[in-house]
Amino acid sequence: MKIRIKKAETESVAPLFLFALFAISAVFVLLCGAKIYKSMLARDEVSHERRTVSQYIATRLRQSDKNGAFYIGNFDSLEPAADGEVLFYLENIDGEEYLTRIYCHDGYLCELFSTADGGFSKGDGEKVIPVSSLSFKNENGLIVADIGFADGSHGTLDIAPRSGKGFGQ
Amino acid sequence: MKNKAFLPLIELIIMIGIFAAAAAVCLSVFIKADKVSQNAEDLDRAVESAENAAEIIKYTCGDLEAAAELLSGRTRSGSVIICFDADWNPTDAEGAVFRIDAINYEGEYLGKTDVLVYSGDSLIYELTVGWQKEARDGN
Repeated sequence: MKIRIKKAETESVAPLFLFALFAISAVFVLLCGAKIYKSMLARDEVSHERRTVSQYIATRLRQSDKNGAFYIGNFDSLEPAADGEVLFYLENIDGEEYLTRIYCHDGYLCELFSTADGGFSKGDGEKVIPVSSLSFKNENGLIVADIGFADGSHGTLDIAPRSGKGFGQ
Repeated sequence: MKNKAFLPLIELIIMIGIFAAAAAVCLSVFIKADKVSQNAEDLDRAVESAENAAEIIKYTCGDLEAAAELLSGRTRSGSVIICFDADWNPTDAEGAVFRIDAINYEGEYLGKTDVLVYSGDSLIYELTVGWQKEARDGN
């Protein structure tokens, strides 16, 4: 009788053990898949942000690449400088001067289009995409943008204006 | 009676076997997807670096020495070589994972450079940049 009970117990443990093994394996596969999917999404998001920020700045420059139309400076100063945190684009529409400013504010790449004499603040700009920092340098006609991306990495964008050497002059 | 008692056990074993096969397929797909995502990221960075190199070469009008200095690279028989580590930071040739070769082709009026990006020995991206020599020389 006792031997029969022991044998019954042993026979019921084996399927339980196998079922537990199956459950653990299923959870392991699910966790692996979730981890890989999460890392793929994060990587794709970072790539998208890098690509978009670089192409946005490059496209804005190339769309409006005219001799002396672009210059670098600081938000409140409006005077051209060799380096600064704002890229200015000056255009004349119906006899009035308008400024487009591209800069970083509050963790975002921002663009502000206004009259040249408008008293606007950094917060008035349109938020485009998250960046952590943005600065520009004019290295003898070559524009170098130093971009800090939202994930903490850094990158540079080099653009040679097609309009010639008269950048900001 | 004894045989009937083993039937559920055998069923369970077969079920686990089928699950193991399906799990192996799923895991291999996940790993391939991760590799594809990694390759896409490398291609993005390759495009970014190649475009930067092309802009600088256009800015210097094919002056390889000046371009190499701006790109933190070195010149070698008519080309500029820039080496990058796994995080796309400029590095020496020894620790290089990625490499840009910018090869110059001199023409009479049009200068041209092929910018080639390699991961190890395989080419992952290439672009061509050109500039008008006559107008630049005239300036």
